[in-house]
Amino acid sequence: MSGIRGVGAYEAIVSGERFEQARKRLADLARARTENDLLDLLTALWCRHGHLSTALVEAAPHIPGAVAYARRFGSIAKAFRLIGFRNRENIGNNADLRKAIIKDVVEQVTKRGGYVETSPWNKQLIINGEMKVNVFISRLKSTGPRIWQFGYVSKSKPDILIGARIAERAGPIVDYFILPFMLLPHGSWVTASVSSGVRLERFRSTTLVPFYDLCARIPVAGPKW
Amino acid sequence: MVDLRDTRRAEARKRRVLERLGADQRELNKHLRIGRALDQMRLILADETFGNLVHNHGIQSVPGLLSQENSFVAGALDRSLDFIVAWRFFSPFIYDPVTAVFLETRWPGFALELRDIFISIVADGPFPHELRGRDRRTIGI
Repeated sequence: MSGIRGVGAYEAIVSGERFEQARKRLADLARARTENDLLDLLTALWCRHGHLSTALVEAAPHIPGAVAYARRFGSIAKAFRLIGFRNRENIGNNADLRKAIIKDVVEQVTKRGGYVETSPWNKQLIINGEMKVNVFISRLKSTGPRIWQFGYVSKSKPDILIGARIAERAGPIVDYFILPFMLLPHGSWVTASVSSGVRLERFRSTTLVPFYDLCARIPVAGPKW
Repeated sequence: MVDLRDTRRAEARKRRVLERLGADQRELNKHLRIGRALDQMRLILADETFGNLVHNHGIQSVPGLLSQENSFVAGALDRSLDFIVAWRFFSPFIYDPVTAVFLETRWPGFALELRDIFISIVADGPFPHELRGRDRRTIGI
């Protein structure tokens, strides 16, 4: 079956030039992008703004959304890493928070009769010469289900892991999870979701005072001879 | 057909309730056991001979939660954290030949009970109502 085509037979709603632009745009969107294409677009965005973030990717009109990157690369952060971008602001903020917590732990435990040894290379605290403690900053995942993940992969497994939870990037600390990491298999990751947070309630605290009290020491008298 | 489905649903509900009750019971037992072990450790540390042995090991202070001078009240945190602190302090004495013999003579079965508690918490997991039979590398709570 064949039809008869007459260009300009009816009055056009949009101009021919604009129609052509829209057709090209739709064809462009329909084209399956390769991984290289996606990474090139991300690099171009980085060059243009001098920075990258999920919000920036979402706001850019000619770039697929963060979900598309997550589907292709596992997460948007992985795509950032593949083009060599590291979110230094975030890393810096978390490092500062961790340093502040460690400083506080040292002060408060010393005040309660204990002592803390710190090692600058693996950031592990040894409290009272017995207990290994690591501090970890956990942020709510920006994509996927609303969960916080706590875990620590290091050669030296901590006895207790303090997970400071922040609600958003560079945000203040909401609460702490004090986890008995010694009793978990090596390399475990604990996830806490909003709906099931009650089950971790006995490990959660809004301050670190209960932890400091755990580390408190009482001097013992020597033998009477 | 509908009757069968209802029956199966009722059975599943019953199973879930029983599992939950079992988990609650296990959790209660764990806390009681840890509480008893901590009380025992306080008694042992209050013993003068053991105190001297501890001092000979160069130990100048004991954890606040194991001290009788300090009226330590069970804190807001889970007792497995208390157990970790106590275990880290006490376990060297269980494995030291001199103190181990003394402990076994004076408080028979105590060292074994302490080890058993440690093993049971590791085996069951420290978190309440933890789901069994799944990959333990990622523990969803």
